[in-house]
Amino acid sequence: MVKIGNLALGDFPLLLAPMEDVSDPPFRAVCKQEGADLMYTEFISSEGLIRDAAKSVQKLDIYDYERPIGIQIFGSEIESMRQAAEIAEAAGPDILDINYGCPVHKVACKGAGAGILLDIDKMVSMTAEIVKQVKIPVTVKPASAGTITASASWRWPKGCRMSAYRPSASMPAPASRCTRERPTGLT
Amino acid sequence: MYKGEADWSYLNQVKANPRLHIPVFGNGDIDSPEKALEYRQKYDVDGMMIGRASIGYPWIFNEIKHFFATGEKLAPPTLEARLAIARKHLDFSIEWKGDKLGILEMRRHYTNYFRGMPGFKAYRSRMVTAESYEEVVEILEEVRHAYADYSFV
Repeated sequence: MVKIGNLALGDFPLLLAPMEDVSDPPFRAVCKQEGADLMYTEFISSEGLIRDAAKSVQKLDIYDYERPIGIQIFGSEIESMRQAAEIAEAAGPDILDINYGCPVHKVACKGAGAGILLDIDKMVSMTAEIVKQVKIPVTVKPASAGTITASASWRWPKGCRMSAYRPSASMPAPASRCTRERPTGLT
Repeated sequence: MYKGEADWSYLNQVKANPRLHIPVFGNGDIDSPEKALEYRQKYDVDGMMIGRASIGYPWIFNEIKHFFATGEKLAPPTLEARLAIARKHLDFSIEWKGDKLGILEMRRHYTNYFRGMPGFKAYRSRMVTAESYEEVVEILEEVRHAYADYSFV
């Protein structure tokens, strides 16, 4: 039995991935009907949420029949992410997920999504801060933390309940191209 | 969304970490029950996340579960099932986003729901240019009649 916090998800759960412009309530309704065990909202900008941007706030819409459901947020600033986590939790999801995987240029090159993999210490601090902020289970979705999270000394901060990897051997493009420096520790 | 293939072999390394006690899920490239089973056997994961493959084909979740449980493949969704899902998606889309945006944002989904149907292109191009809910519903009805005898393989 796989558990995330107190959520029991069966023996081998199948999750609907958070997809921008796709994983909205209408699409989730059909996936739920056809067997998705746990679903996520589209990723929601922390900067949008704390500024009450209509486009971001609308993405917080979740329905009881969708449970268990996670809200996914992204951002590069720890304080913004902490506040956004508070706002997202108030919408009543079962899980709060942090996006450490979006490879899209406008996200990753601002240090959010996969961009944060260039600064692993920050990723750890951000996760820890959000775990402290909310009462619901926090999960993470990194694109690839490569050899770091695979190393024997690695652990996600206490309270982080699950990680869903979109694994790859290298930084996902174009995140790998936003900086002239090679990310350290990532193969 | 991602381009290129995911490399799931990393997940075995991640799971081999003795300090890691939380569930680990894999995501990327799962697009059939066979592949799901292959990856489940090959990689040490607690579950899977499905993305792209579910777009226009939400049946993939139950198809994978059935395949895991029985080793047999479910029959592909019938035309009626496809029409019902497309309609449910459309209705909710309009309810949640309003007429205009609801219709607009549904356009990308039609092709996938009716993938593989010969001669569907003509219907599709009408669906993606239709501007009212009634118009789309009418085209869906035409599809119901035109393909009544078509069986999916």
